[in-house]
Amino acid sequence: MENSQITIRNLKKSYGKGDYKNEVLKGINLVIHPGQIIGYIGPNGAGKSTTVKILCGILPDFEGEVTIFGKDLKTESMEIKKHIGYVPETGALYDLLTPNEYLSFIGTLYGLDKDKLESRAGNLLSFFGMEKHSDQRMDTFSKGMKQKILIMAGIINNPDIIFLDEPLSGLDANTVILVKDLLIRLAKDGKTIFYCSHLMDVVEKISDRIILINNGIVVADGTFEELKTEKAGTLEMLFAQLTGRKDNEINTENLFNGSHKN
Amino acid sequence: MVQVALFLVRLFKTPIQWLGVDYPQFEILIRTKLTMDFRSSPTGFQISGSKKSTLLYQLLTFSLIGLLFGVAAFSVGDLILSLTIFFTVIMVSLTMTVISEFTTVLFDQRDNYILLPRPISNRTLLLLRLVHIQFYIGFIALALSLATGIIVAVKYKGIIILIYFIAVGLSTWMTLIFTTFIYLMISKVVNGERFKDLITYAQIAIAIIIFGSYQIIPRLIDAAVLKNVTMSVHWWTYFFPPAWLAALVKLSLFTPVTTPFLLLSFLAVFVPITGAVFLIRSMSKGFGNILADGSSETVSPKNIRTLNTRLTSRINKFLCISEIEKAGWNLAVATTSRDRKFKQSVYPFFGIMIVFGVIILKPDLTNLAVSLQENGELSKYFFIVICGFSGSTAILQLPYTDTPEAAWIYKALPLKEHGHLLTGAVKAILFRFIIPIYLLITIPSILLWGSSVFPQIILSGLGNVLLVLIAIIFQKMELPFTQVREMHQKGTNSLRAILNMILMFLLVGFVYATSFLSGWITILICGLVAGLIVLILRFIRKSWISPKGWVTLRNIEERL
Repeated sequence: MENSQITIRNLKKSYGKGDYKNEVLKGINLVIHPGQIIGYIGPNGAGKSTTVKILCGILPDFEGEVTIFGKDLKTESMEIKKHIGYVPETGALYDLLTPNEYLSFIGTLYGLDKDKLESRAGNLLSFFGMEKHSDQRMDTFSKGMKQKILIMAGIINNPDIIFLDEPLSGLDANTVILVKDLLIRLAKDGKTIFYCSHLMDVVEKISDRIILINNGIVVADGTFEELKTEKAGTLEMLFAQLTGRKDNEINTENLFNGSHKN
Repeated sequence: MVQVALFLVRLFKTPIQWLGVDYPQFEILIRTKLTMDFRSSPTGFQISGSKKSTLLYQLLTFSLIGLLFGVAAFSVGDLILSLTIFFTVIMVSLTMTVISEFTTVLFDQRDNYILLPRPISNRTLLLLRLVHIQFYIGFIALALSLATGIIVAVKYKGIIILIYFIAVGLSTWMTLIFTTFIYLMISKVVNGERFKDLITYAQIAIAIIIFGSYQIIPRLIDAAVLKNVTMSVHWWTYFFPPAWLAALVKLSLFTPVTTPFLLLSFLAVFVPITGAVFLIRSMSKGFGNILADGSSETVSPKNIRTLNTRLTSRINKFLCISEIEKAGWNLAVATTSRDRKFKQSVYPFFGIMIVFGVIILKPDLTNLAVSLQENGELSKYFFIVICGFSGSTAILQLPYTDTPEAAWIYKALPLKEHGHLLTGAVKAILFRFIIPIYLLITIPSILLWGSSVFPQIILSGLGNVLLVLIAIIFQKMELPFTQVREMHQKGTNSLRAILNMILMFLLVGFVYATSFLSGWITILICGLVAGLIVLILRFIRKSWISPKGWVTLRNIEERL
């Protein structure tokens, strides 16, 4: 779709009040065009998940201006939600249901009609090789199997933008390849993929654009080719250079038998 | 069960759409929620019985309690007065259940990541939660009102029985929307983060309002002889929902009625409907904000004061017999002082008990000291016992947590003495919740009633502890913080609280009886009770180790 884009202006978010106030996002500015794969990276606690949760409407209370498909997220979130997908980081699904039940539940919430829903759920299940598990309760599933269902539920409405928070965690090597291919395919179809990950080599390979945040602000933004320097030839090195601790001499000797100094 | 609920929901399809709710979404949501509630965990049926039999057990016990209510209410001659008393009792019981068991369900944030990213409006979400809760409290109300329903049907015949059950349904709905309305009003004044802290106080406030309304009943009665009384309508009767419902039921007898009664019956129908419309249409945004607030990870990580822990760790040296027991103590102290849901389930009971205690004492505010001194002996001991009773409610909540998976640690550790963890945690809760209360009431009690009451205070405290321990054995209580709070369990918890309350009445009687003995004999009895407590604690510790004990760690295994 032509208008499939996100504009973020001076996005701020803080939790708590007074002494407990914690500013997680300190003014993010981004413009995202359709059909791109965006790798959103940063150290633990940098604000990645918070950004994604705001963009997909889980956190309605934020400062700044966000428009998606040209619509204001604060006032038209219902319209926006119909056309986006979200794959959460925490394994949040109703695991007492079967994959078939869960997918039809989510699909119905998007207002899909029964036939379309059934064929789409069937296609997704067979794509991920899960047909034989489609009528089993998910509380017996492994982490990776649940992750596959979460990804299916995230794209069942055929969204124009897909937000994924650590989509590859818990997946085996074969499925990682599968998901990577899927993301590339979806981007080719004109969909925007916005995902958070800690797997630097994957991000390096499949992202059209890499956005690195640290302490609630964007510290690097561009293609991998643009970002890499002579000193930092891989994304991992670049990441360490921009966000790492300075005292890198880690001393494991005192870990178990040294005295604790404070 | 689920099908019945869905059938009822479908009956209300058009009104639901009037509320601005997306009906297809609503139906799939409620269907999914109920399906999950009734789907037992893989090995669950072998141990605790299926979820259906849990409900059956609740139905039977609540019906028995309802029979007591019914007989008590209908010992009064006048139908409308009997029904007013009956509906008051029902609504008070339901409000207690809603605020202590279902508040956490109303503001449940566990499925935020599933529901909030989907295009579901706040109205749909709010109605979903309300109807989901209505299903459970409606079930409890039905059980409670069954016996009275039979009395009414036999005595008056005709369509009155139908109207009666509609009135029961309306009473649950009114209770639910009233409680929710109060919560949402508070959330309008304070922001999300503070609201979560204040919700506990709101629960206490609602409890006080509801309990205070009990005071109205005696004033509704005109004559001294109960057999011949009739109900009089005062201006404030129009603000008393049980009277509306009673008037509505009376209407179905087609006997001539006066305008005030017509007006009251009108209110019984009008208020639940407009209340729902107002709540869903105008206040659901605030509800959405409260939910969303829970998706935020944390406020700024801050070091928590551990001074308190240091104090209790000095005390647990005396009260705990092993290092593992101390570990259980420390875990319970740290968790219960920070877990909001634990507080939400426990603290309101303190409010209720204190109000209850004060109501029993019936203080005359114009001459407080004298009126308290002249109080009947029985109500004095009632007060002393009931104050400590809230502690046992706290114990009942001990096994519940939102993160049962964390219990893997009990499996992974080379640990045999699981019972010590349980007794340690129990001791900590008793120490935190019963002892402070008794310290607080001892001095005023002795000032008011003389030092002769002191042995009875000690006995009440020990007796409360004994009751709790007996309850633990009969329930085969699980290890602390290992169980999920499940929907179908909620009724059982309320039931346990009611059963414990009956035991408490026995304790009151016992304490009262000892007041006729010499103080030294009471002290001797205290010694015996203390000895019994020590023995029971020992028993709990042992039976957790032995293969015949109730230790199974079953649910833990399932979650790994």
